[in-house]
Amino acid sequence: MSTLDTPRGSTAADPSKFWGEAKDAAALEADPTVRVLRAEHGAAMLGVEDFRGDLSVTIRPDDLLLVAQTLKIHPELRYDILADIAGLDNLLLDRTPRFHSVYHFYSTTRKKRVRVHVPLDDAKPAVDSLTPLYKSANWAEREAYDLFGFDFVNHPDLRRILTHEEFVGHPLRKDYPPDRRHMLSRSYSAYPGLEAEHEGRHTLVGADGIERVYVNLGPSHPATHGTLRIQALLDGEIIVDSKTEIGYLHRCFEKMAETHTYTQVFPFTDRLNYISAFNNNVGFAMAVEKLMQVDVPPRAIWIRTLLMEFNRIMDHMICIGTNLVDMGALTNFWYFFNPRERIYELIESTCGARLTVSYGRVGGVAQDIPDGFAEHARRVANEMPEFIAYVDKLATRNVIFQQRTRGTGVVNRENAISWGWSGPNGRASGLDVDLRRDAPYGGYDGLEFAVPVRTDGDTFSRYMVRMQEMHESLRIIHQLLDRGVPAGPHITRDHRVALPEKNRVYGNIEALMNHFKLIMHGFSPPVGEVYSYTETPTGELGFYLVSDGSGKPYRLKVRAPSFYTFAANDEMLRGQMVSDFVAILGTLNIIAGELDR
Amino acid sequence: MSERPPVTLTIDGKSVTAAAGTNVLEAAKLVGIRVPNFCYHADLSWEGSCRMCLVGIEGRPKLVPSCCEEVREGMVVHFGRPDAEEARRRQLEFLLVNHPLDCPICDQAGECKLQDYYMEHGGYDSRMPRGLKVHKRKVVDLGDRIMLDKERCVLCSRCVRFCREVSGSHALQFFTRGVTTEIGTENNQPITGDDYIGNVVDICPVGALTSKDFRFKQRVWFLKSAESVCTQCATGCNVRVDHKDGTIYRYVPRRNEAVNKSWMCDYGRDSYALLHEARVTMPRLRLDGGAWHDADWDEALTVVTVRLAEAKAADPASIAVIASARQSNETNWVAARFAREVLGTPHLDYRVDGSQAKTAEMQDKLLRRRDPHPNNAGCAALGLAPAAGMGDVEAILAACEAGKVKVLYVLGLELWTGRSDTDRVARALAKVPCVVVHAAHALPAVDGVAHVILADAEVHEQEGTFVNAQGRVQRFERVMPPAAMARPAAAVLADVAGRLDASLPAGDGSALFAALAAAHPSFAGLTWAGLGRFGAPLPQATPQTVGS
Repeated sequence: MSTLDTPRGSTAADPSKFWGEAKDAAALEADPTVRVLRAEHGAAMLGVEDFRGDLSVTIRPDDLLLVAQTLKIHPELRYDILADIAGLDNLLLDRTPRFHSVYHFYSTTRKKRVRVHVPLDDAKPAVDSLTPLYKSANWAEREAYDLFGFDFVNHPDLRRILTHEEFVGHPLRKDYPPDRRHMLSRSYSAYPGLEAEHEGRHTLVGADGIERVYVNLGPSHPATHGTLRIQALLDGEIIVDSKTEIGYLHRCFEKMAETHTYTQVFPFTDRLNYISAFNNNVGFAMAVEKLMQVDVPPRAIWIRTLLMEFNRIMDHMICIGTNLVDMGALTNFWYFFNPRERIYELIESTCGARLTVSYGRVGGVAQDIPDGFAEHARRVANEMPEFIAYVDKLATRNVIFQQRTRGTGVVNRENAISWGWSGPNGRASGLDVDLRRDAPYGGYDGLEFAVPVRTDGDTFSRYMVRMQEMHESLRIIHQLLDRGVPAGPHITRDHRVALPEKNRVYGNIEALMNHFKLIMHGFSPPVGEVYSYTETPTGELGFYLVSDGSGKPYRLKVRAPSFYTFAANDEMLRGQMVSDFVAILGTLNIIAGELDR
Repeated sequence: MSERPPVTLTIDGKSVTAAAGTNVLEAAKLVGIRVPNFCYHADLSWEGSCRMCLVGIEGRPKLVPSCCEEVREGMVVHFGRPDAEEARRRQLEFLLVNHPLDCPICDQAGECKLQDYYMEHGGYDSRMPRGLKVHKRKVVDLGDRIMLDKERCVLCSRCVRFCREVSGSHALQFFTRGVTTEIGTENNQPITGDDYIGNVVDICPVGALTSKDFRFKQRVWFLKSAESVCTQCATGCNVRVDHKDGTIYRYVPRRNEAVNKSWMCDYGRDSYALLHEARVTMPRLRLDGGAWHDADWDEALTVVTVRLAEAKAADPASIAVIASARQSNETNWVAARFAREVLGTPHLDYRVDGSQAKTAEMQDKLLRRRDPHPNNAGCAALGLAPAAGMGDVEAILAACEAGKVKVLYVLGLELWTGRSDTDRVARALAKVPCVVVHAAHALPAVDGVAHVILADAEVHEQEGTFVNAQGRVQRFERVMPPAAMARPAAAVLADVAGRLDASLPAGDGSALFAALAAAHPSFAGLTWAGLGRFGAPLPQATPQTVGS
């Protein structure tokens, strides 16, 4: 049976039950979200599903804005965060209409999630923009416009975001060939008058008739730590307006994932937030495990949790270290890159790689940890506080540092929620959300750690949250080490996903076939869709995974925390000193690999 | 069988209605349950030897092979019951007891049912100690097409039944008994005289029978597939074209119950290689007795346009157009409108080699027809034959010889490849001042008489439809873009028409088919989507002349 014979989609008679897994109907209807939506928007509801614990509602496109408003403000629901928008092309699924716009909402107070499917017209996919309700919709909708060609009515600035202006077509549509290339001839500016920048123009006359100096920051600026471009208009040293442009590191990760087996996707996830690559591995593995209902053995969970916390420390060190360099405090950089080297040695001992580790696997990790790993980890963990203390002494109470960071780049709690912020940046703005605590996954259940929250929302708060989080990560690491490494395998024995051991591969036909199929074809999860999320050092990393039952992801949407953080950049910069730009940018911890995917 | 009313049964709690006489295995497919099987094949007799399709049926004390069980009213079938799952798993273990560790060197790997079923239904750990396997002969050369590996065989007998029931050659048989049972030919002699033996490679569920032509050329998981139709005779067997990086590696018959069942002849199977042979990759010109030179499309079409305009201005009847039974309906329809509406000539025919008279005649008992072209029936349905009283191809050649034809516009190469009187064709065409040929392949005889050769796209480089001998309209997909600068003839004709200040429909095969179905009564009511993967019969309508 070749893969050509693999059935795609469901043939279920009831179109509202596409994924075919029916929860008890009464229990589903009793869910507050379903109950409220039925009462308020009964006519708009096209279907309700519960698959792998994800609540999913299908809404008539005309009613999206009203439904979203109810989701946001209804006292029983209060889905205050629009976590992500994903396009979905049903072309190869047995489902009409062709396009879905898929929204993921999260309630920070109720800690609940809901997914909203909005079917869109085949020929002219269009739906109301959610920008009046959620600021995070701004970039998310631009992305869906860019990659799928959806028209978001009343969007204030609907233009391409990840691909170049001269790109033709919408790459994530299923009829767009993955290997098509485009000739790109020149650079464009978001300020129409500035397209002739190469002719030596450095000023722009604004709509108010005032001529202002124009500064182009990036894409190759030492302080952008990645290819970002901010075009800023200055009034003296004050940024009066700016246009943030991204996509310079866009690899179309999501399209590549559609042409590779699930295991082959792991190296791509390394390159999202490559500062803490292993956390992305685990995030992706957890999405597949949720879809396939794979049990992960305790030893693998222990390894994952321990390494994820080391990665978190490392990620925060780089963020703070480079941030301080940008402000002229070079010594701190060395104080943080030194212990980072110790952590890299620890990671290297597990899988041989340092930066892009590809150590995660569905059902566990790629290889077992070496002998003496726990002692090694303990040694590394014990070295950390000294270095954190050095930087703390040098920076935290330093007057110059305080003057540059206090009260700059302020994002208040309301805005942080509206922009869909998460992670340390969100917590620095008073958003008390940490998925390790609020939706414990893997090994976090039963571990004791505090979630540092500050309310100022400025550059200094973000610095402080990260400094405190490193200590909490060390607490977690010590608790894990005190418990000891659980015995047992490092990866599940589930033949569907895990490679058999080499001695069996060479010794019997069953293991040989198993190995062969897993390597050459990969594994085929059931038809279905899940949204899985983890708390990475940059925030909520989500994977929205749609499977058509074949050996490759049908659709893999990454909810990149950096993307939603950075969307607020132009608003944050307005009124700031241009010299503070680098300090603000550094403290947001934007990783271009994750931002642009 | 078909007169009995359909029956309704329950499979894993799902109610399904199936035709009487269907087996449970096929009925299960209707509710999306794919029952694993090796020996069962939809176009062969029921055997029930592999035991991979065991299911539980209520009221029956033991598990039952679903391939040999006819559906009955009210039957309650359990496919997913633990005992049935366990039985199938253990059966797979039995089948693998003596299976060699060949996956890395086996050409079937990747499309092997043992591998697929291990992943879907096996998943157990081996209990077989090393070194206890019973070995049999490997690399048994069975003639031009087939290589046999006896120890990979699961003894499903599909190939044996194929040779007995379909091709009738009885070439492959079982030999010896018990654990040493094997398939093979008498004394391991090569197979000769079976023109359909290539099919046993397709139906072999494991790597026992592999194709000598295909093996070790390409790993199957790297191949991309497109659905097409074989062009080697008027039967139009449905095929799957497996290709990679611009090269076609094989044809595999695609099951179409109404046309070719699951089979195709070896001649058609080999024809994929012809598609790449001696391609004309760019337009070529020979002006005023000069030498051939490569041209770009603009230059070539300028020459064609000027010659056609001159001849048309002098006398439209001095132009003759020859359509092709190897071109799609869409191309021929555009060509006919080009001749009749744009040029205004009555001289149009497609019957260059007399094959249209043999469309219905069978060459053998199974599939092959004497008409070697895929679309004679389509040309007839389009009404490309000249009206009564007008000259046919012979008359066109006579007119050429008499010097009355100023421009001869030819689609395809059948004028040179299909006729025995090549001298007469050469003699007649030598008198024509301008011969334009749409050719996908280079041919010395054409070089001798033509003046403009337009690089044509082959069948796999465009999409369109053929009408087979049964009057069935069948789609073929575009497998890959045209080689180098080649272009589909329909697009070129529309281009030339534009240069002559006329207009012809242009677009992909699907768009042209929609225009054709809207305009031509023979195709009325058909839609591109409606033809689907398996085609649809022509609506019963009398062929009429296209154009004015």
